[in-house]
Amino acid sequence: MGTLTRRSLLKSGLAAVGAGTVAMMGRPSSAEAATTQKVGKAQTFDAVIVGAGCAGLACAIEVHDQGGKPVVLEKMGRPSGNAIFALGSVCVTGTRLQKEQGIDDDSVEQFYQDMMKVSLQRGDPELTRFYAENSAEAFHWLVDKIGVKFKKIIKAPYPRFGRIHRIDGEGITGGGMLIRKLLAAAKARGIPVLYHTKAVELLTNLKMEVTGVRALTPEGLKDFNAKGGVLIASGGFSANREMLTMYMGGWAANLATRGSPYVTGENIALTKPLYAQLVHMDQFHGGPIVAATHVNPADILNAGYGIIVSMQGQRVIDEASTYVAKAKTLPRVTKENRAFQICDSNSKNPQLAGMIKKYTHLNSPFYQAETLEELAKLTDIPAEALIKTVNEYNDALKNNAPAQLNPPNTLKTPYAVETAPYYAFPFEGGMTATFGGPKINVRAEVVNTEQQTIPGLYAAGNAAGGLFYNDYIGGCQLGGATIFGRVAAKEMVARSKKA
Amino acid sequence: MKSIYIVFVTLFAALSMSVFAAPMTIPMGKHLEKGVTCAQCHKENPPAKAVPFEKCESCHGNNDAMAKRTEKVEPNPHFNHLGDVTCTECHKNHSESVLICSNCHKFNLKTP
Ligand SMILES: Cc1cc2nc3c(=O)[nH]c(=O)nc-3n(C[C@H](O)[C@H](O)[C@H](O)COP(=O)(O)OP(=O)(O)OC[C@H]3O[C@@H](n4cnc5c(N)ncnc54)[C@H](O)[C@@H]3O)c2cc1C
Ligand code: HEC
Ligand code: HEC
Ligand code: HEC
Ligand code: HEC
Repeated sequence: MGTLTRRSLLKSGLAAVGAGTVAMMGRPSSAEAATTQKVGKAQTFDAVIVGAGCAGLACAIEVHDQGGKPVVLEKMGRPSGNAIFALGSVCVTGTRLQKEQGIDDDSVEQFYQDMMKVSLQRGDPELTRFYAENSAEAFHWLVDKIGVKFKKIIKAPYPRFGRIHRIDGEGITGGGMLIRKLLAAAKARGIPVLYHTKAVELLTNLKMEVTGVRALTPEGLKDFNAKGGVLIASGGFSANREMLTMYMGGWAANLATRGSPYVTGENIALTKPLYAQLVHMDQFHGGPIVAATHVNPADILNAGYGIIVSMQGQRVIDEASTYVAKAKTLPRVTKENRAFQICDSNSKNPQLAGMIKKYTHLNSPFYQAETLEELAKLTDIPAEALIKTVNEYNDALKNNAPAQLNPPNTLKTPYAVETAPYYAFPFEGGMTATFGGPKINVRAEVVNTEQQTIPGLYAAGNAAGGLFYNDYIGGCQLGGATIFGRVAAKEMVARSKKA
Repeated sequence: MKSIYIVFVTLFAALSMSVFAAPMTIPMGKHLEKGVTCAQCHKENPPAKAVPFEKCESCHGNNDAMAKRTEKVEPNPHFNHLGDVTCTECHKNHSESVLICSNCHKFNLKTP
């Protein structure tokens, strides 16, 4: 490896990702350069962790606190996965905060049942039970050890109930604040987080046990040996169009990316050569998004007022479906993966004022007009089609037959679209995160196609498969990343001590 | 503006040809006005390489310090959910500055 020059590396496409950006982006440039060794010379750690997201950083901190020596490899110049975009809900039960607020109508068993219901009973039952049983402990760890501050719990309907613990973002996204706090905790412990260091291959011995990671660093390829194991915490593949097409179909690749452009499927690329069992590969979480401005329009889609029409002026989705279903349906029923939420000025709509404020505040175009004709002109929807669609909808309500429309409208109490001014909020269907990846067990060990664990290989967070299917209770992804990242830490430290 | 231009021409004349190729369409703005010299940022002479962000921080303080200075700006470019973005990802000293947030948002922010 020592013979590779920087110049020849720069010529290869791979190097362009890491090395090409170093000069301009490297936050930790000078500090880290001092701690990295010469190209090709391997360093040994108890645990090598791929990805500085929620799962990776939680793992590194726990490895250190268990007496081990971790290293975190991060391909970008700072944590760049989905965590920094997350709203910051953490779904847990049995916490001190719940007790303080007098929330005592939940149990671990009920939580488990609800998680299974939301995954259509297809989430791995053992992983789900492990999550439910360990969620409170993970929450208290975030508060006590990491110093994460949480807001007051706001009770919500099924399946969130009193379980959603929302991180106080103090002005930024809750996930962004979580990562800041995890990084600070890692720094306080002296844990090396190596930026511009991209894991490109897992190292194995002759028994095909995982012994480390080969990574591309600004100085070239370098090996990181792991005595206890390697954690894959590189996130999912929501930003890898080839994989989306391969595992889900071309329509899924047309969804807008809600979060990170850098979660590109290294959980698959790194583990597949070792015959990891890849599960739930077609499963993901979707949500609506305005791709150009990243405004989240979920509230207005959930409000229960108005209709959703395509650029051609047709209703395309049952307005009663969840925002997740709406986002997932859009690329299949419109060629542009784009639609408008059309609302009138019904004063009872609880979300209208807030949404106008949000779109305005974030400079995201939306449209307001005194007549439907005018609205059609502003939105470029054919006026005739829009008016016909609205009239058909209003007539169906009068005839008590909205369920007979195509597509049906099954809102419990639908409201006519009849009071000027009218509004059109454009949005796209987006992908939040993928659920598929190498299957893990409750020790976060990766399982192979023969149901055997692959010694030394662990996965957690969006990188791991098994826990989620179809949908998840909001807040369970950050919860899962924290819980299984820390489980992997304990396993790797124990394994290292035995080695 | 003319005098600034002359300063540059003279400077350039003194530098090697390869330096000439550097894009200097917006030369330094405030820094020149305030008398910040090439050598205060570039340790090599003549200047040839990009300047590490630590240099910026040595005069301006880090993102946390800058965040206090722009705390009234909405949204605060120096305290954001991307994390510790380095100064020179947004502020380009010799060319048009950028706002990396604009890959995903359309904020009314102008980066000096
Ligand atoms: C808009 C949005 C809102 C969300 N809101 C919530 C919420 O409120 N609650 C919730 O529970 N979940 C939420 N989620 C989901 C949540 O953000 C993710 O599930 C979570 O961040 C996953 O964490 P992770 O550690 O697995 O991966 P990530 O946070 O994605 O981190 C992966 C890291 O690995 C790095 N990496 C990738 N490949 C390599 C490689 N080869 N070598 C080195 N490094 C590599 C990446 O650069 C990245 O830094 C939301 C997601 C989005 C997009
Ligand atoms: C405030 C700090 C600062 C000062 C003062 C400064 N520079 Fe720079 N210079 C930079 C930065 C930062 C870059 C990297 C490119 C960019 O941001 O525009 C750079 C890049 C350059 C480059 C090009 C290197 C490349 O990467 O292509 C040259 C040449 C250069 N500067 C010359 C000068 C000269 C001549 C002066 C004095 C007239 C000067 N600089 C003053 C910060 C500074
Ligand atoms: C030698 C000290 C010094 C260094 C080094 C320095 N600056 Fe400055 N900078 C100043 C001074 C002085 C001003 C004018 C007063 C102010 O706004 O703080 C200034 C102003 C600025 C401004 C405001 C410009 C405007 O038009 O309002 C920006 C942006 C800036 N600097 C960015 C940088 C960046 C980025 C770097 C590193 C590449 C850097 N500075 C390095 C001294 C410095
Ligand atoms: C995400 C892009 C971004 C990054 C990164 C960034 N800035 Fe800025 N900076 C801005 C914007 C936008 C403004 C203008 C704020 C405003 O509207 O007053 C600004 C303003 C400034 C000013 C002028 C402040 C004033 O009071 O007028 C200085 C000085 C400055 N930045 C220095 C820095 C330094 C030093 C760093 C690195 C520690 C840095 N910036 C990082 C975007 C950025
Ligand atoms: C890669 C895309 C991306 C970049 C770059 C980015 N953001 Fe964001 N931003 C998002 C996403 C995604 C959300 C969350 C939207 C959601 O909840 O669905 C968000 C949310 C926000 C919000 C909250 C908006 C609200 O709903 O009130 C603010 C403020 C914000 N970002 C500021 C910034 C700033 C400042 C920068 C630059 C320093 C930046 N963002 C860079 C993607 C991005």
